[in-house]
Amino acid sequence: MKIRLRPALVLALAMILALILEFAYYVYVNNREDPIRQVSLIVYGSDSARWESLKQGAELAAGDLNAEVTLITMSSEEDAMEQISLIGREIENGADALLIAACDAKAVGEYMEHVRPKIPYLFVESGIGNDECLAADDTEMAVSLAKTIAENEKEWIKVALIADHTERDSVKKRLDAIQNAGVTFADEIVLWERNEQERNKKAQFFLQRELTEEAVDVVVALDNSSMEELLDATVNLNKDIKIYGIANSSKSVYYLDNRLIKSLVYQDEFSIGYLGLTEVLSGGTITTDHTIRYEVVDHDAMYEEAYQKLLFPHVR
Amino acid sequence: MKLKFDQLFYRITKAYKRRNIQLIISISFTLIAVFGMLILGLALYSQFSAKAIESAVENDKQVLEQVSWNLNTYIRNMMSVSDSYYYSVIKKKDLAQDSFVEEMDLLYEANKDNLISIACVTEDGALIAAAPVANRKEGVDFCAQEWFRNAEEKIADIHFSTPHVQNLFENSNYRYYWVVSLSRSVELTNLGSIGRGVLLVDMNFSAIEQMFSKVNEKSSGYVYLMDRNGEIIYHPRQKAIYSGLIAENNIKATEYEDGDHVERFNGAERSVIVKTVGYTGWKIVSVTPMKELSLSMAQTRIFTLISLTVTIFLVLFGNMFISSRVTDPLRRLDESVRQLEEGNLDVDNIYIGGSHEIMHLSRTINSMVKQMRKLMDDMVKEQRDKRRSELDALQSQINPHFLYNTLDSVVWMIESKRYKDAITTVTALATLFRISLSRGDNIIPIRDEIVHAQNYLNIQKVRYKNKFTSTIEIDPAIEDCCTIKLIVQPLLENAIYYGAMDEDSVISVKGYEKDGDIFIEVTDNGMGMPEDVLENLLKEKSKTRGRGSGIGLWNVNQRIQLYFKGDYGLSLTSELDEGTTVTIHLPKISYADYKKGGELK
Repeated sequence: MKIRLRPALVLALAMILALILEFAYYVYVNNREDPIRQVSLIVYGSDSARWESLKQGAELAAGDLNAEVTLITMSSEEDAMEQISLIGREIENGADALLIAACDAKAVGEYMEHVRPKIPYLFVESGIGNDECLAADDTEMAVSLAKTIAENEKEWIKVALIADHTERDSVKKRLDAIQNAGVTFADEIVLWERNEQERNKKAQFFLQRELTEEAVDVVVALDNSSMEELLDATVNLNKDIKIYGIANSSKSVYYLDNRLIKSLVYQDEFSIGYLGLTEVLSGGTITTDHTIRYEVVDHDAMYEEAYQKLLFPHVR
Repeated sequence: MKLKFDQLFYRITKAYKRRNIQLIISISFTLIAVFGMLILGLALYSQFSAKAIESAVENDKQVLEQVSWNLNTYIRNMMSVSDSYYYSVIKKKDLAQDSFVEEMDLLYEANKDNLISIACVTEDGALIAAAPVANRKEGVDFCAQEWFRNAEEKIADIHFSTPHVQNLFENSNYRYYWVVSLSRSVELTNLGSIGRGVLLVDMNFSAIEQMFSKVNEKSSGYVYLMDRNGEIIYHPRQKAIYSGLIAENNIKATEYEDGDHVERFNGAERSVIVKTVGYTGWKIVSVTPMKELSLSMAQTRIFTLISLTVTIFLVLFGNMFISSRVTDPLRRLDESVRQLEEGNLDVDNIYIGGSHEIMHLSRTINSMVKQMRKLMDDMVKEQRDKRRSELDALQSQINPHFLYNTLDSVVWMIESKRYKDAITTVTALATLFRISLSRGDNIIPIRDEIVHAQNYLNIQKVRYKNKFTSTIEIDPAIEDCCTIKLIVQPLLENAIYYGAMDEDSVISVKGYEKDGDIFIEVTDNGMGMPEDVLENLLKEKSKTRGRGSGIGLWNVNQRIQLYFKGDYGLSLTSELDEGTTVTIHLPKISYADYKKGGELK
């Protein structure tokens, strides 16, 4: 009396196969969490606090996409070689994606063209001269700033444009745009631009000298670095000037609150960080086709609900 | 495709038609068991899933209760700060005479982890006291701020604002605080007269955020806080919501009563639990995507699946074993019966085993087969005996005509005084009869058979007046071997009748051994026989009754085959005008051995 061997064998094999499949599914379910992807956020400048909003946005998206964000700042404000070496180091260290705020459009652009990294990367806030950068529209921001100056300053004025950090694509675009805005916001515009020799010194001293030597009514800083340098130069200088600018740091907001800055163009860097990270980890074609919000804020409006949500980073 | 389907259908149909009892039992039991188990498994799984989801929701509710309790404690704590200061300080002091700062500082110090500042202002916005001590921000109109307006609008209530950036005092280090303002209208005494003012406690939003962050770290979903109008106070993705990157169903959630709900938002089903925080009217909302709840069930699902698989296969094995135990004896009995159908009546082949009923059936069939076999054996034996008797009777009969003619020849010899021939003939006749009888034995040595043949030839020669001549050549080696008696004489009889009709006729008998068998040839040189006659000679119809001894070739052939089975018997060759040869083919069996064993095989 015995079970016929062949069907029993087939049955046993079927059972083993079914159990293997189920066990494989069990292992898959238990281990299906993808490994945490590392995204390097390589920015220009040495002030990490200035990038807090962008970092927060990137980190929020990273939480959803099982990733970690590492903010990498430089030791100086603008050193293309340093940033290039940082990019190279991050690629070599196995970063899964890069978000880069380029300090020098030309140098970084050439480097990326040369290296052609196999990992996804995206330029944020400042790119390499093309449109492939996730940021608010620099031209629009500059034009809006020009209009604001024109609206606020009715009398005859002389405006100084700080033409510093123009290696950055964003600054260059803004400078070009404000000069060709098609809006008359000044009777006279002067460019404050450091020469090679002055570049080795602190910009604060250059600006103090300019402020002292040249009588201007309005000084316009077109980026965060210039704005902070201008603020540093102005704070202890007993000079009645009006500051306008495009910036994103809490220091800028503070001086807007203190009325030293008359109007500030502030872009939504939280969204840049969030969308930028989502794009580089999307696994598909990276697009910069997102509209990034920016606001022109003055002291009186800065505590309005819509603006305070933009200007003040949430407490962590 | 249709062809393949037809082939598959044909195969299934064929397999179904060929189904055996084991297959039927196996499949039926298995289907019933699997169906039952699936139903049971599904029922248990759905019950378990429902319970698990219920348990997860219950767990979320408990978490929510805990958060609610913490938040309530925090709010009550803040309210008690406000109450303490109002009832213990403001109510008891006069603005013109007393300082409000000391007690405020004490309260602030005691609660500074949870609040940013405490301030008391008059109804026209003048700052009476603030803790910590700070400079009032230039150009800030307290009366225009929301917390002040709310307190002025409903003076009996305590008001809670939504989170906002505090805009009261000078800050250092570019630091701004997100606060939730708790404000109330207070009665201020100034030189004995009562005026109005507002007491503000700016709660640290960070404390609320931390409270919720801890919960959100552990939870599979998330918990957020909103006011009664749906305005978000805390959300783990608050900034993303503010930036319009993601959306929350908070407005819809304001319509929900406290308790658990299921909603569909952005294409996903979510479990939502709402809990209203006392006094503030804030609502704590816990959101867990159903997908997350279902994911947590994945392990249970796999465990159920594995258990189900193992159980199903065990049932299959069990069914195979049981059906095999039940049906195997039947199958083997069936095989035995099949062999019976094919004519194999060997009783040893009948399978006996299995359960009592099957064994009984087997034994009955066995007994029937035995009886059948016995009956058949009896019948066969009876038939063979009958036939042998008939043949023996035939061969033992000497044709009376032959006897009459022989005796007539003897009379004629005596009358013609050929006494010697008469004696020879009578002696030969006597020997013929003696050998014919052979004490009843049918098997005799070849030697005796040849003597018999010789005597017969002698008699016939006398009768036919020596019309033919004969020769007999027998290999001495075969003389002591067995033969059936009276098988040569009928052949001689045929040879004489058909082949010895003239003076030159020769009949020869030749015996020899070849390939271990014995051959005895009887040859005449007569006219021979045509092919058709030759073919019929060994058939029953061609018996030559009425002539010769009456024992035809058929008879001889039948007898040889009856005694010696197999290829033994007669064979004939004939050519017209040449003669005929009849060959007897016998096995070589020693007569002495035969006598010892007594059997011919």
